[in-house]
Formats: sequence, structure tokens, C-alpha cells
Amino acid sequence: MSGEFTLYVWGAYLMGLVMIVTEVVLLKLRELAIRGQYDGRRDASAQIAGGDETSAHGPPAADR
Amino acid sequence: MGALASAGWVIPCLGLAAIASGALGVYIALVASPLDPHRGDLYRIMYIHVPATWMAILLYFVVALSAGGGALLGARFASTLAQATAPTGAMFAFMALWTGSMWSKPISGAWWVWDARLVADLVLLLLYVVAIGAYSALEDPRRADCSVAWISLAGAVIVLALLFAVALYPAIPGTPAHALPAVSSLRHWTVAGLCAVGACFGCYSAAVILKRVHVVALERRRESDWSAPPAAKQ
Repeated sequence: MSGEFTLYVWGAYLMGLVMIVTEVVLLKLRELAIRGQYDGRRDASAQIAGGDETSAHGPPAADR
Repeated sequence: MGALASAGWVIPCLGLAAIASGALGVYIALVASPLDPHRGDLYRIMYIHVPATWMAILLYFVVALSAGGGALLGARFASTLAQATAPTGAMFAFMALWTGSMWSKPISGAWWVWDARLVADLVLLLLYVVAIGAYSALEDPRRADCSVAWISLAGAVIVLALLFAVALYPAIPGTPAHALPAVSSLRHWTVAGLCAVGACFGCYSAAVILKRVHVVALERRRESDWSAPPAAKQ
């Protein structure tokens, strides 16, 4: 490729790549956020139940 | 949700297919395809501009049909699909608009000209923004689904009118014209490159939308019934 249009051609392709990567990253962050909320709620439910339920991140509270 | 969880292997396969076809498409667009004697190197932007426009239009009809079907038939999955599709369609509409501007700038000297194709890309982007805004502004998912259904069905009529206008209205010289090259030997490369990049965008869209459907379904379940048991972890 040569000529004065190179900047615009590469700019268009790089911009497309950046947009795709940005969308994937934002979607991954959104997924992590909703999963974190569910994990936090599961841990809270286990504590409210008196520690007799298995936590999402470890053994029952009675065994710790 | 169970079907989505069991179909988790589909998303990596779609992602790999998108990467492979995208690499092939970029190779054809930037390396293998010869120079267009009439439009120079600038026509290489067409390999990303045209498939982006295709995907933006296609995904808008997916949004309209799924949102309309979800509202009329009460199918929650269809409404979830519409909400999950809109951001990806908006991304492609913005990509089509931006690459169209980068195409016209070196020739006409302006980032924006009142060409039917650029105006159609802009209207499409605005329709997506309205749909996404309705989902964000309305807290009740059912009200949001109903609103987006009416908005997107009306928008689909506008998109159809824009497609006819683009077909009838001749392109301003120096603006993105979606015509194939006049040189016959170049047409084969052009068709192959457009198909490769189109396949890349299609596989990418399918993968991202499937993933976002899962996330949106989790969010809707959280908002509708927070006391229910949490969704099964993968």
C-alpha cells in the first residue's frame, strides 16, 4: 500500500479493531459484575442461614 | 438458560471462526487485492465499511422482529435477545458511519457530506441509540420491552425506506459507493474479501450476542425476583 490515503485506510481498520476489543472487554466486565453480585448474595444467604450451608468460596463456616 | 449454559462451547467456536475469517479478510483487503485503477487504495475501506453496514441493518431487523415478537407473544427470550442484540448493532452502525467518513474525507475534503448512504448510517445509529436508551431509562423490563418493540418496528419501516432511498439515489462522487470495481479481475478479490469480512462480523456478532443474552437474562432474573435461588454457575 502506498500513497496519501494510507493513513485513512489503516485508521479505518484500526478503529474497527479497537471497537470490537472494547465491546468484548465491556461485556466481560458486565458479566463479572453480575456474577460477583450473585456470589455475594450466595455468601450472605449462607451466613444468614447460620453457617450451616456451604459457602461458594470455601467449606462450611462450622469447619473453619 | 440451561440451553445457553450447555451451548457454552459454541461461543469459543464462533470466536475462533471470526478470528480466522477476519484474518483472511484483512489479508485479502490489505495485501492480496490489487490496486483499483480508478479509486486507488482508498477503496480498501470498502472491505470493512460494507460488511459493517450489512451487519448494522441485519441486526436492526433482528432487534425489531425479536422485540416485536417478544411483546406480542409474551416470549421473554425474544425480548432478551432484542436487548442483547442492540449494542452490537449500534457498534456496527457506528463503525459503518465512521469508516464512511474516513472514506469521503480524503476525496471531498469533509468528514460529513449529505450523501444518502452516510445519512442512512447516521439514522440507523440514532435508532439503535433510542432503543438502548429505552432499555436503560425504563426500570420495568416489561415496559421497556413494549416500548422498544413499538420503537424498533417503526424504525424497521424507516430502515426499509432508507434502503430504497439509497438504491434510488446516486452516490455523490467521492463518497462511499458500494459498487463492485469495474475491473473484472478485481471483482473476484472484492467478493472474496467482502464475504470473508462479512463471515467474520457474522460469527463475532453471534458469539457476542449469545454471551450478552446470558448476562441480560441474569440481570433480568436479579431484578424480577431477587429472592429466588441464584442462577446455576457454570
